[in-house]
Amino acid sequence: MDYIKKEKKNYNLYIMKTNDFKVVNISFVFQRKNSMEDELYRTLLKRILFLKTAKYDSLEKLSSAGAEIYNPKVFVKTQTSSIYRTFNLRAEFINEKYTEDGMNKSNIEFIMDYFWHPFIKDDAFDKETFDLCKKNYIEELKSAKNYPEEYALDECWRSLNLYEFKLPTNEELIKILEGIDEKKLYSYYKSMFTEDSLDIFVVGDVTDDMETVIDDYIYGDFQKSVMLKPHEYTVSKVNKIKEKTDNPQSKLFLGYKMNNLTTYENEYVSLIFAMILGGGTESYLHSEARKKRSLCYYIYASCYNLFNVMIVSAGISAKNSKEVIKITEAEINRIKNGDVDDDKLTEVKQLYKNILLESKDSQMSLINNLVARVTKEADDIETRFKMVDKMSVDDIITLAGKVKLDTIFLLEGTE
Amino acid sequence: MKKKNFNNLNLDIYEEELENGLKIFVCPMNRYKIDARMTVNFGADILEFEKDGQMIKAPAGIAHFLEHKMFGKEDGTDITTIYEKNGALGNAYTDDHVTVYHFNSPVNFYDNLLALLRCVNEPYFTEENVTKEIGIIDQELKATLSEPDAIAYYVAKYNSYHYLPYKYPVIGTEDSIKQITKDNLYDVYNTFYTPSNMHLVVTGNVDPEEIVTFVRNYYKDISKREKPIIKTYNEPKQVAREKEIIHKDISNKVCFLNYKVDLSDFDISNFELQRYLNVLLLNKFSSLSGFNDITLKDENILSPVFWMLDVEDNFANFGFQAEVKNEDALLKLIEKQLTDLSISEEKLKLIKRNWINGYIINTDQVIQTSEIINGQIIKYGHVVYDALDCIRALNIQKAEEIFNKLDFSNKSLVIVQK
Repeated sequence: MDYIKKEKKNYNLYIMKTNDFKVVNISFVFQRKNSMEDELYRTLLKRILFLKTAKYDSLEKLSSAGAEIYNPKVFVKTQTSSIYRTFNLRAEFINEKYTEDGMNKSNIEFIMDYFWHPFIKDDAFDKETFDLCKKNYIEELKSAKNYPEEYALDECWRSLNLYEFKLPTNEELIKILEGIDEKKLYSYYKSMFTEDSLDIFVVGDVTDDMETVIDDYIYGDFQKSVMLKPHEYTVSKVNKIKEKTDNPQSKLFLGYKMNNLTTYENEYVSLIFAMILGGGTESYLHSEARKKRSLCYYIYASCYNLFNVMIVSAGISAKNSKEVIKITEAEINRIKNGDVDDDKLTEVKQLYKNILLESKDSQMSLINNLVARVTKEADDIETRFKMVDKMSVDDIITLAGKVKLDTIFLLEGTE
Repeated sequence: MKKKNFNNLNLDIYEEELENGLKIFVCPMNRYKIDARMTVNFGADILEFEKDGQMIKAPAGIAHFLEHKMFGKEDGTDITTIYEKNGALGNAYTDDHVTVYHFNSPVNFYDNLLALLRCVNEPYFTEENVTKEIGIIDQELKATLSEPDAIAYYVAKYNSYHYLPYKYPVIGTEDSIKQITKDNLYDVYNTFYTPSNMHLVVTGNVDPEEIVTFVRNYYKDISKREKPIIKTYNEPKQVAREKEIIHKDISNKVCFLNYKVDLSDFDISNFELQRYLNVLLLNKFSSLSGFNDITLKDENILSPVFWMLDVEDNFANFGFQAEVKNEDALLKLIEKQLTDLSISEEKLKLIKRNWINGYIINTDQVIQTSEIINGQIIKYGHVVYDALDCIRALNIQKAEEIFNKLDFSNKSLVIVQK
């Protein structure tokens, strides 16, 4: 689907017009070079902005005001590459054609108020609200191990060492957090108006007056945006990390890095490779480790193409960990040695194309695709069809040769 | 075939009941994705039923176990393989009330529909394949019970009930899973997987006539059978156990509080009653209520407070869960909210607006529309075509009349702590 780009004085506006849906989707993408503290500041910001605004000084008033205008969904999605970090203020609201006149303007203003008109006191965020957000964030970090799946993934990710700086542990994060106050967070927030870039995306039955509302609201001297690019690594030796838990089940995470990928390999082949290896109940890993040998309840492979990383995760009994690692390595080697059949590739390609086709059913998917086209130079949906269609077994075999195991993280349970 | 309209949502639904009792609901939508789901009215809350004139008992977790075993066929076919070869996403789930088998895909619809029908109509259980499944389900149980939230929830549910099988986790227990045999599976399959105890919902770019013809043809040799007879229980209003502390190596305490509330005294439709119960929760505990503004400031409450409502038999379960420093503080806040259940016109208007808004947004999407239709059939026994009118008609007088009759004195608290 086509879009138009409008270059404004301090930001770019991208509009994709469609009247296939009852809703309008908006995305405000802020982006800057990633530093260690960004994660903390942006997470705090994400929390504090949604509790109060300049107009509504409590969550109750803010929620009631949202309900009054048919409850727009507003949330923040963050994304990082090795070098850049985005803060994406996302929203979806019902087009006023299905509610009442004036609701489009009211919704856009309500959404933009979260970021452009926050609750500020004496050149700082409100101390009471800030302290609550900080307290909750610290408690979440302290209890991270209560959620073994997420915890093990985070630990594996940390060990992969994917950034220009070393990712701090939860204990280190808590220490840094303790040094942040409402004034520092406000300074960081203000810096986003000069140090971040801003791209705005609108998808739906977009009218000229929506553009005017946005234009009237925006202030800030934003930077020019840059493309998010995947990173290159070297893998010298495999990091093996083991932690104990009193849970019965163990969580095994294997972090793989992929080097020297072409753009085509990064965008397409690595994804299809991960789907063949561990993308569903008919994947090689699932067939071998669960169906044939009953070694685990689940085993999946996921691809993170902004990092050229693939993660294999499995829920297992501790005694089976070595065997599951062996099977995973053997299945990757099997593909590398050419043992991957055309039918399997055709099946997975079809599944991927179906997902692409279905993405046209959802305006949320359309805006995600538009954001990716602009921020990552991703292809549009039609081009993706063609690119996947031309993929051969040889492409998969070549890719398998570039996959290197970097980290084994085992959260070892009691059985 | 009857054509009905979901009011004010531009959705038509075609309803048909086959000679053998299978009900079919088709909702045409102009989208690529097509979703189909077959629901069996057999969930974890049924463990005792009549077979050959005698009441028999199955081990806890059998509905979920059966769901796992329905995908493998005698000729070696695995239904998930058919879905994947056809580029479809197919799966199943079991909850306390039903088992649902489903797929969605933009292509190969009839191949996938045939696979779905085979999935629920061709049982094949052997001692060997049942034993193998025990290991897999045991791992699933262990994964579920790794998180303190899940432990607190399941134990609170167990402690709330004396007799209803609802007290057990959907997946069963470590012991009950091991007791399941192929004979148990055939018993429950033959009793509950009968067309008159099932319904099919299809949503997407499809022709209703064509679907009904296809399904009717598939079922031509499968005749109508009697509806299953299920054991009823005389469940007391009181909870079985009021408090339990469980020790686990975690940093923050997690607690789950379940109010068991008797609903046997209400003479209104299930849909209406459940709407009003949800109004109560939204009015007192959602972000519209000011409750979150209070809990956020309370140093004894360390996470957002999650709440849920589930209705089983004649009881509503109002559940609350949070990480806490001190559970008494949370209890006090919840009790305070429950002592004054009045609601303003303004709040009721906002709650109604939120729901109507939800219907408008969700019926833009295939899966969500399918879930709305299926969810209503499961909960209320039929599609609530006038759902929006019912929501608009909710009023303060009725709300307060219902709220005043609710008794929140029976509760069970579970704390998971170091």
